[in-house]
Amino acid sequence: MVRRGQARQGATGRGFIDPKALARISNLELVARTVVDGFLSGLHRSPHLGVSLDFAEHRPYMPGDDIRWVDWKLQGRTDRFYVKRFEADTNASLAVMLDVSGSMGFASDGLSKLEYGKFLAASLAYFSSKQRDRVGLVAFSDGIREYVPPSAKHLDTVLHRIATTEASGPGALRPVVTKVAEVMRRRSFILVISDFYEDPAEVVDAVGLLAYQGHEVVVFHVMDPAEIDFPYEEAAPFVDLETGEELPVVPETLADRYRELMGTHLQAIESGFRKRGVDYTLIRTDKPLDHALFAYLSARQRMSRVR
Amino acid sequence: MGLLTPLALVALGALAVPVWIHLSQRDRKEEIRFPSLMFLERIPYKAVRRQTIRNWPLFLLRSLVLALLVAAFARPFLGSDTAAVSLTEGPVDRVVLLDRSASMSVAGRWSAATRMAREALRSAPAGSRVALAVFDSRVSVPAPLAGDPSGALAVLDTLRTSDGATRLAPALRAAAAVLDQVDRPREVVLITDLQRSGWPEGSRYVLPEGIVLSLRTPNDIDETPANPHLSGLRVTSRQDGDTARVRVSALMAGLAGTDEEAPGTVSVALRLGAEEVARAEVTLDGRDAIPVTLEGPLIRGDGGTGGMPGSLVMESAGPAWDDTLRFVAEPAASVPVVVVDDSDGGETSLFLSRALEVGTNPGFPHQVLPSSRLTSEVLASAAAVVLNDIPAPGGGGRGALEDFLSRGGGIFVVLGPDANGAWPNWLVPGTLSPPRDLGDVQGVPLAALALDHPILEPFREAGAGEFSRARFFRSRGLPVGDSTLIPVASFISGDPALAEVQGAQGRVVLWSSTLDDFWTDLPRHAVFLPFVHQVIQYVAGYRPPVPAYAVGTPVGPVLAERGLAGSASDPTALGPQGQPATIMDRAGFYVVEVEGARRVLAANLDPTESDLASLDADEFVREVAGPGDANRALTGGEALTAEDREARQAIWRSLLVLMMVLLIVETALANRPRARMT
Repeated sequence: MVRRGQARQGATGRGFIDPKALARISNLELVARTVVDGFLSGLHRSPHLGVSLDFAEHRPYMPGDDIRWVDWKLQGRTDRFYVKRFEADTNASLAVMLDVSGSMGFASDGLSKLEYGKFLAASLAYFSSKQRDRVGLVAFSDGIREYVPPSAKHLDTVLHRIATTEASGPGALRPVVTKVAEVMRRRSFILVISDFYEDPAEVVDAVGLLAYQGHEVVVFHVMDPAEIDFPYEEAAPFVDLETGEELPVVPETLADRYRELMGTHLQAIESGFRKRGVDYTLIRTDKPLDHALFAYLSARQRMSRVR
Repeated sequence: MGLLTPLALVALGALAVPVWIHLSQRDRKEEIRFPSLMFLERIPYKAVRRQTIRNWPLFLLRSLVLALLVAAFARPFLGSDTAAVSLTEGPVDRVVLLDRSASMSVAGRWSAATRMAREALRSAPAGSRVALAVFDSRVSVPAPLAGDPSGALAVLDTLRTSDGATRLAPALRAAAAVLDQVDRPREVVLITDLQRSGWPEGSRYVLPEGIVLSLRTPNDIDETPANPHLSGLRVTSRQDGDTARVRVSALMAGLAGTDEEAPGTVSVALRLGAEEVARAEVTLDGRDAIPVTLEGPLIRGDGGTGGMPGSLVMESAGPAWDDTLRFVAEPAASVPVVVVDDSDGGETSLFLSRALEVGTNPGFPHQVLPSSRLTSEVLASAAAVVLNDIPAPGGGGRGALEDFLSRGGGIFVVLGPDANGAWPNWLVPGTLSPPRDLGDVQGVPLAALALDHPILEPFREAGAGEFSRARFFRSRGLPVGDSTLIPVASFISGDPALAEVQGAQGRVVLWSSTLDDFWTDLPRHAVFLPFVHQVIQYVAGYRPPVPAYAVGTPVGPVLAERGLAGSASDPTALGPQGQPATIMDRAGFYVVEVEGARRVLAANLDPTESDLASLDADEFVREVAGPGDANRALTGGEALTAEDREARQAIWRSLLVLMMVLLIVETALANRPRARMT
């Protein structure tokens, strides 16, 4: 007997978007294509809208308007001059900021946060490229490790760089954001994919700087379920992936307190971003990628409606 | 049940190992690589972790395993404790032998000892007879054997510690003498702090067969408490211009056990009469013993008591019972000497005079005069006369000498080349042979020294070898074999060089060589000075003053030795508390009146009593039981076979087996699977 969830997954193509299944595909472009195509095919039955150069409305002709946008057919029917209005130009820039610090290498059950982030970044880059957006990449830890400026021709480079980068070193968001803000003058989509192991106020301030500059910022907070649920039972030395520091830990005595601190941290980050008008999505690495894609599409749609 | 090696119990400290394992070692598992410790570091985990033992069964199991291992090594055995043997069945004759020496006054020992004595008296089986004997250096039996212990218990309530020293052998001998009825079980319950000084080599005792020793100690005999104390009292007087001064030296001993972390200082005060005349702050520097010397003015006579009582007091934090040394300071003594010398300008007496001049304690004021001036008046104030190589005195001189000798005076006769003539028998017995060479030109040394003679006794410890360096070239042969001559030193030929004449009322000592460098080079050797001083002191009958006596010394012999006995055969002194005493049995001052003059004597604790180190109880019991008879003392009279002994000690095997079983359980428990993560 086929369970209900499995049948639904097959119907929507989510089976292809399952992170564990994707992890078995070595080619990142193929992964991205699988994700995006599967996702888009699922959207045929979805109420969510895609984006395109669509007609928006008519308005009366005003002196100075380009006569090329006059709707002659309407003039024929009504004998009045109307000018067509369209959705905004979707040839936008997308910059993916991917955190590749040591903490992103954590994996409690096979798929690391970085691998998940890579899938996400690649999929969104591929998706945006299909929309004829310019795509770029900023891979960072406590500084910029890889930088590919947004360009319509850079998808392959972006995917290659995403594929080859490894998690290492400590992470620090502010210096990276400061530099990105300097080099990206054009109003862009900026996707920030990170685990944000910093003070929430610091994180929000740093990312808020991008939003302040007019960028449309979408934040994907990637977390491993073990980081949130803290399921450890036996005492063991815990080693910090970024600093190498070792700490003997007896989980049963401090698990509750850890979860409490982690919950407060997540809540502080989310509320901080909300106040700044930054789209924030917490993503667990055991969840399918479509959550992230939906979040991205929602943001993308909002920006595309700008006239 | 007892333990053969109780020291093994120290290993119980190893119980800390499982605690350590549980609190730290278990954490050393496979490390978990975690994204960030920023939250974990904020949690005060350490306090929680170290105070929590998470697996109590495992912890208790491991602790038990270690405890069993330690217990096995402690060699438990069934039966009586070696240090607490007791006859428990049937009536018994029991002597409770209670140590009341000064050391028993240390920190609660006496109360514990009397409690033990009370228990031993009461716990005798029905029909038993009990006696109570107390001892220090002396033994007394205040409650003889009796069927009712109430008499002994009543006496026990009145007892106090004494100032005497511990002597175990005479106490055991006296206790054995009390148990004279051999047809019933006999037991000595010895209650003592078992001081090592109370059981000296050469003065030990083995209980007669059939008497069981039961040893009780009111203190931890494995631990020697710190006991700073004063010992080695030395009192000297000297004349400083018109003022007589007394110098008191002593050794601050027993400092090794004091706190080395905070050495600090110890104050030592010198009191003369009722007045403190000097004080010194001595810094403790880690040494076990530190000498201290204080000096003060001496008031001669001190109201006719014949000496000035004083004390040296150490103000230490330890037990105070041996922190005071009492003494009686006497003025510097002198031995007046008349040297009779017929040589020109007294040149024969040059070395002798120089030797006498350097004597200070006592001093040797002397005059050199020719034999023609030898009269009774000249000798009236002399204590010793030296006839330094003169012809046999005759006429008035001989009479004066005879008179002097009859009054107890002493004469040192130097028989050199000029000592010719007919000597009276009371001065030089027998016939004096003419001078003769000794050996070849190298001379001969002294070959035989009677070091037990008072003259040479001080050279026993050190310095006797110095005599062998001196060479003698000529001598007069003293008569050999004369019963009135006691040789003190002889040449290698057997002829006496130094001899004492017996039978004289005073003392006469003969020297068959010279006291200058004519017949011998002895005066050029360092030993000449003390030799001359010793001879003069001996013939003068000089006895150095004794500043203090040990507790337990009888008063009569002391006075007799000092020539103060008077007419009383058993003089009585007034003790420290004003009580009449014939024996100085308490530390303090004793005043005795001899022929109208008051004399003061000081008594101090026996210095050996301050050494609180204890004997090994097992070893002591075995020694008291005698060789080859150890089982009797250990087990209360029944001899054990080797198999019996082994059987009584076989518990260790069971303990080890149990430990192995627990180890298997522990292994199973420690390795059981546990859920790691959800």
